[in-house]
Parts: sequence; structure tokens; C-alpha cells
Amino acid sequence: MATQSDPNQIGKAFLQHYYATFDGINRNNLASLFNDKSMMTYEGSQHMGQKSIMEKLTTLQFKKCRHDSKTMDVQPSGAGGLMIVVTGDIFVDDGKNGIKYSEVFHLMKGQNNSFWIHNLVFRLNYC
Amino acid sequence: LQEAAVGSSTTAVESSTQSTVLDIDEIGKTFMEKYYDLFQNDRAKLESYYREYSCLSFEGQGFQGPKQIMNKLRNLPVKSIQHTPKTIDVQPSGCGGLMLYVTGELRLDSTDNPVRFLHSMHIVPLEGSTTDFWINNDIFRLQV
Repeated sequence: MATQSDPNQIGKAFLQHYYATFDGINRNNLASLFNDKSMMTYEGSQHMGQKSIMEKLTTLQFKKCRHDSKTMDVQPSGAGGLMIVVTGDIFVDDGKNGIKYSEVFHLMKGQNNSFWIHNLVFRLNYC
Repeated sequence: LQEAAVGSSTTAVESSTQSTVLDIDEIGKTFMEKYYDLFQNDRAKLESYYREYSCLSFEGQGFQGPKQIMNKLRNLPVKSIQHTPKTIDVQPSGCGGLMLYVTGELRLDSTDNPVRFLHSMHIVPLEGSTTDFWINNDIFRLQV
């Protein structure tokens, strides 16, 4: 992704790419967004590094899913990074009722003006 | 704070000044509990957490710096706000701080029906400290 000066534009483009890839036919394509420094906590399950993260994301307990993001907040995190917080609904396996989720990404600038995911936390948000 | 070794049930990190292993989950939890306690009981004291470059997004509205941020937090349209965290996730942020991610329930003016909220912070330690932080990023959303 090319960097532009508007963090909101970068955030929007990143999320579109991330969710389209996550929800699409080859979730493995997310791998290039992670490296050995990346950390993910998915519903409390902690993973470090691209391999462990991708293993988790490709073995989740649903066949199909669709993220419907509703809100996005973007802030510079310092040192050229971006913090993105998303809320929305996630639909799994053709279910009619979405489950509320929220997710935070901390992106860092990599080579060629692209961003990679340093931190990712995903939580379903129901009581 | 150095990078943590994630993957064990306790996420530990070494401080740059000591070889003591720190429990960042505990540090994050303690920080948020203190923050929410001040929020409810002595909100003006929150000002010391915010610096010139601190950013707050509160339900989609953006504020920067302690003056703007405190102006927002001290003028919310309800008298009493009680945060009850249900989940707190903590990770090293890679730029010397911690990423905190809280989901929970909010009770406004002691009403019975709580509202779900999420709250993400990027906190940075004061020089050489493992207990005192300032808030670089603060993002708050209700989830209705």
C-alpha cells in the first residue's frame, strides 16, 4: 500500500484489504502482513510470530465468515506507526445473526512504504 | 520495556534498567483499574496522564493534548460513569510501551442496564519506571 499523509485513508485501505483477504477464499494470503515480531491475541489466545498467528487464523472453528465493520478510529502511535480500532459484526457460516466484535491493530511501517501488523487483538463483545 | 515472549500464560518482559521479569498483564490491569477509579472518583487527576502529543478518540470525536482531552472528559453529559472491565489484553507496543485493550460494561448514572464499551490505550512508561505511565493513544467506543 502506498503511504499517504491521511491516516484515515491508510486505515480504511488497510481494513478493506485485511477483511477481504480474511473473509475470502485464501486466508493464507494474510501471512505477508505478519513477521516474527508480530503478536496476536485472538479471544484470549496468544500467538507470536507469523507461523503461530497464521496457524490460528486458518484453523478457526468456522468455515465461512464475513466481517461487517461499523466504526474505525485511527491514530498515529508514534515512530510512524498507526493504531486502528474497529467495531462491527461478524457473521459465520451463513448465520443470520452477527456477533459484535472489536479489534485493534497496531501497524508499523515496513519496506517499500508498506505496513505490517505488530499487534493485533480480537475480541467478541457480548456480555 | 523490551519485547515480551508471548505464548505462555504469563507474558513477561525485561525492563531496560533491571533484569527483573515483569508481568505485563498485571501492569496493564493495575493501570486500567487505577484509571477507571480516577475516572469515576477524581476525574481531574486524569490530566497528568496526558501529554502534548496524546490523542483521544471518544466515540469518534478526536482530541489532542491534555487541555482538549480533559475538556472532553470533564464535560460528559452524565454525572456518574462506572467502568467494569470484563477482558483486558496487554501486549508490548514495539515502541517501548504497552498496548492495552479492554472490553466491558459501562453504567451511567447508576442505571440498571449497562452498555458495552471497548477501550484501547497505548501507554508509555516514564523514564525508568515500571509503574508510572503516560497515555499516548486513547480510543474509546460504546458498542451498541
